[in-house]
Amino acid sequence: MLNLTPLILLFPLIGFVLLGLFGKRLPKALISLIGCGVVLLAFACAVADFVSMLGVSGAAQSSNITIFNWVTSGGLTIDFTLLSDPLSAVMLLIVTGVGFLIHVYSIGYMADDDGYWRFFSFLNLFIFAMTLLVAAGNFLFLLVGWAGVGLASFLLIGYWYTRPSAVAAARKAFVVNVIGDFGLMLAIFLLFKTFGTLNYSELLYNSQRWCPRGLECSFDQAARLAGFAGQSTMLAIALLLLVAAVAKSAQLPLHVWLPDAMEGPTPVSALIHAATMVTAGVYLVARAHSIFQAAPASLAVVAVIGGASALFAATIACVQTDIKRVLAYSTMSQLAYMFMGEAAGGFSGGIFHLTTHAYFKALLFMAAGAVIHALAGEQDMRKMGGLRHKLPLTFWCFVVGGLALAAVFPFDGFWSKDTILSSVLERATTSGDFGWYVLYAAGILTAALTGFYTFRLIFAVFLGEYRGPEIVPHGAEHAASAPASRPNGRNAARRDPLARVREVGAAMAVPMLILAALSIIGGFYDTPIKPWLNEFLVPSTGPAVELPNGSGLFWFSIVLSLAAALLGIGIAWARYGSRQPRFAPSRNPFVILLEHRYYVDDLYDRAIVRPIVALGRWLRRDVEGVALDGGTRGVGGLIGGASKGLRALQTGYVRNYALAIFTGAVLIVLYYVIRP
Amino acid sequence: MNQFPILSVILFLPLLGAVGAALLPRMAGWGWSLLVTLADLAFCLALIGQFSTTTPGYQFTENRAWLPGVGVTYALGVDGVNLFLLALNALLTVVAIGASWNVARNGDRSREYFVLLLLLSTGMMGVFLATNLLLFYVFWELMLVPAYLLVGMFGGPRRAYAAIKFVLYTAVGSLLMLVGIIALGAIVSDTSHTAFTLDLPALLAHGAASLPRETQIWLFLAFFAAFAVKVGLFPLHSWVPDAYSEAPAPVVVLIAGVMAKTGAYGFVRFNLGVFPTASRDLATLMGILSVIGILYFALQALVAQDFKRLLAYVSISHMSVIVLGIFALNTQGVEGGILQMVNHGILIAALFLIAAYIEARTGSRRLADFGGMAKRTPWLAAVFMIITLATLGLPGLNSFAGEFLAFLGAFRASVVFGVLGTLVVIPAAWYMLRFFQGVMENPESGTVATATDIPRGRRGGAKLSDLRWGEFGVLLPLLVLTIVLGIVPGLLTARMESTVQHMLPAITASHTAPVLPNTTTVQR
Repeated sequence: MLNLTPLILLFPLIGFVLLGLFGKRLPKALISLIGCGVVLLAFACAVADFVSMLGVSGAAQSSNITIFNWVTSGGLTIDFTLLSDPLSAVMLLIVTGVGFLIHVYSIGYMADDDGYWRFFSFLNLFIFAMTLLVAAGNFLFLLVGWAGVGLASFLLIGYWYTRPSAVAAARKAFVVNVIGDFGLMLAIFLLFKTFGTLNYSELLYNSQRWCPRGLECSFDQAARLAGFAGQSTMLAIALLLLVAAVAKSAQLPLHVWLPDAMEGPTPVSALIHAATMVTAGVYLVARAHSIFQAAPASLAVVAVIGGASALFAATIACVQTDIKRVLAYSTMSQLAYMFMGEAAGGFSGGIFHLTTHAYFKALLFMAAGAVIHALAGEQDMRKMGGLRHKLPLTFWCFVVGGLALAAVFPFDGFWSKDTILSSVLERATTSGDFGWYVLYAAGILTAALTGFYTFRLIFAVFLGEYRGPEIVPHGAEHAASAPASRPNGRNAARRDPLARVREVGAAMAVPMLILAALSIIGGFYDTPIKPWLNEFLVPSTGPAVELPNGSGLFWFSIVLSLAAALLGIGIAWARYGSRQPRFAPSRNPFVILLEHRYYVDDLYDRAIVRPIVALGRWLRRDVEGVALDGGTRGVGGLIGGASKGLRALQTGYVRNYALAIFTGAVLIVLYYVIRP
Repeated sequence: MNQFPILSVILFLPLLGAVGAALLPRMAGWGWSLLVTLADLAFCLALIGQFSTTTPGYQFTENRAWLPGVGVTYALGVDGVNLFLLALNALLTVVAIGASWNVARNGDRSREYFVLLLLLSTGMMGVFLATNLLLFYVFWELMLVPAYLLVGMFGGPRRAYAAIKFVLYTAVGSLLMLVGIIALGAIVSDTSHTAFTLDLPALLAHGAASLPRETQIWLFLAFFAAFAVKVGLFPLHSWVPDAYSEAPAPVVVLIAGVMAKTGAYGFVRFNLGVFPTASRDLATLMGILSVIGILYFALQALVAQDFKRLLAYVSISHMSVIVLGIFALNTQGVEGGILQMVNHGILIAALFLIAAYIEARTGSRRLADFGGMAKRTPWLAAVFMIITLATLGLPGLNSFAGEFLAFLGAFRASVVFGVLGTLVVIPAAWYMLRFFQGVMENPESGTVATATDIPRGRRGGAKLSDLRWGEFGVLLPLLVLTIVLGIVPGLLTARMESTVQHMLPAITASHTAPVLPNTTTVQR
């Protein structure tokens, strides 16, 4: 079997280094060529790997490549190992494939930006780090990739570094993600302390090492791990991994960075904060499924976080007016679906939704970027409307993406969301546990909300009358802060405010069309009739839950979720589509609560950030200043005062003190020599 | 003994440089110093090349009688603990001399300056190399004197206060250590009925490491006093922010980059090596002090307003991580500690140089005065970014490897210390980004916006120019090592392995560890 994984990592790395060092002096065409070319090469390698993997079966699909020894210290041996298996193959296809399309889109979107080379170099860095994250063969290099994508995200959120809001958002994203890194590091420490290794091949897959000596060995890796380490240790490891997953995938309670991350350029939001990086948490849970299964309580925690985050984000999305923030909360909500599926035991179902979400959410962000680009940086849907005629291509892409997001048959989101919801329902009926029914209800309610906020967005932007000021095109959002040149007052007065709005060029249109096509057909590789992806992933994510395909329960779930989505779309039509929408401030306390995002940001600021800073200041003044420094002065003063008679010795020259010390030392030595 | 005395050459080359610097004209003195220290670095690299990874004990030893009656010999040796510290000292001396070009050009007392800098380097080399305790002490004092003078003569406006404070703290610590050294020699000679000696291998052969527990604890504490002050361990750190913020950058490169390591080195060499029982029994105390220091200093860095003081706290917070690793008393912890000594030296040197470059361009080091500098100094910003990321422990860069091992070691020894120590990664990201973003990003403001108006020469500021070639050249080796040692830290740990593995059983042997049910795969 072919294994080109090292090349998949190497190409984007080369792109990053080349553009980072020399990009400033290169012409734009060459920058685009290098930036996109390296990702295309990586994608080609990923396809080749994937195709060759289809030719073999079972254990032969997984192979490790060890590149070098990172560190050896006592019993700890960490190699730079890359694992090629069905899960990493699927993830690499998504990362490099969707990544390539977004690189191409960026050629158009960032065309007028001064830091063109910097942008592409950071994007390449991101692709490198993300491929490392999904291809790593042990937890340490997972952490390296994990932090690397966090870094790329930080650099790209703060890409327009002279904007205070972008700088603050970048820092917030970084620090919150470091909380996740902290969890992952502790998980690694505990794994090493317990098992003495960090390799996936030993920890996660079918390793006889953990079998009790002389006893019958369980067939199930999770049971072996639990038997070896005990339930409580496994629970601790799983929960620490979950801290990392929750931070990276913007789930409660560490979601606060994602909406602010929309300060970055829109291609970044599409690539990092929708299609790939934020799904790393979902990937981690699927990858480490044996660990989670070894402590079933951890999956219950995943379920609670997933259900709560889904509803939490979907409700906030309903009142946002910034089109990118609507999509950001929608991303959080959709990621929560993936966690719900995983919690119910459908790890491959979570990955399936990850892939379909990558298509339609990247598409939606690209289409949103096209709108922002056309409106010279405007992101507020209250100042939009009626753009359907000016931006027909964008409109239809938005509709396709929106239908997929709302999970309407037969778009790809329908298939994957249905897989998740039916696995939750299956879990509920087989276990009879009330909690799973609640989770299922949360999933259905979120489906209705999703339909509502998605089409509220589409209707408000594309239907009705245009509500904003005249558009003076000057590229994308990055120039928004620059003073726009005023058009000639007299002539402008009667002009169509959208006269100069243009549909996107080919560099942006082609990737959008490809993703639109994928959003339509992308679900067909895993349908209830032929769950192909599910079967392909079995070696990586374990046997999936038996879905109630074809039964009455199955049809019930499909009809219910579809009805919920259509209900949501219908309400959106009634309020925003059939008439000119109004965005008057609401006095409904629940709406105010939503507009303040449940006050979570304020709570963190008051309960965590400010107390820490206040503590630091208090310590500086009273401990550092008075107790320690003052103590020193006190002792110094005491000595000074007591030795007035010895003033002659206090020359103030440090060298004299040193000489005295040295003389003293010699005297003491002499004493010991002369001593009998 | 007929082999080439490479350790003596490494030790005395800087001294030779000092002699030349005293005699030659200013600029020639600078060039000469640079040349000599580069040669010194080359010898250190050759030493690393020749070093045997399988020998646990001292290699390339030199031993000559000096004052036989007092038990003092001229004895040098290198093993897995000090090998890379020699190279670090040589490298940072080169960097410090290279960065002192302005001092040579402007001339004021530049001869004294270079002589002292090179004497300081020799002193630190001797501290790392000496295997006789009194020789160690001689170099220890030899290192302190030039350091006081450099801070006191060439520092900022509050240099006198900073230097006196430095003297007060270090002198008390050193004297206690001297008492400890002599007491150790006397006690060992009494109990083993052998001649009085202060040679470390001889002392160990005479059973120095198996003294009664009480004695060990007193001696441990005597050595602790000197080393903890040097490291800047809580609560003995009060001299650090003053000294680091007043001293000129090249001096801080040596004081924070290398001299602080002599304390951490002393902990490994003497406290762990000679007082194993006390080390084991006091490990909890050391852990508590380290963890308090790690978090308390991080908090101080978070609220610091002057960025040199911020860096001083960053430095001691990270030094506390090293001590935490060392007193985890397992292979990962100790190797992580030593590895981190090297990484910390590289990064703190780069940070103080960058801070000096920023101050030279704007005349200020108050964070509130800054904003948006990256637009006008993109390369400085890029280098600063990489060093910032390494300092906050980004996986893939050098500091991560050392911290990872140190925290892992600490975690294995005590979950509480491991968790609390590792927690520092969160404030670390916060304070480093506060520094980097506060200076480089946001709209142009404060001194950055007005920097071009400062006439050349006044307030130490020229016009706000990007990184110059000379400045970049000084940072380049640090930058390269930051990246390389992040990718292959194993290059260093492989050479520590056998020494550390050999040292630890003495500590853990008497340790009756509770046998956990799960430790079927026992690791060191």
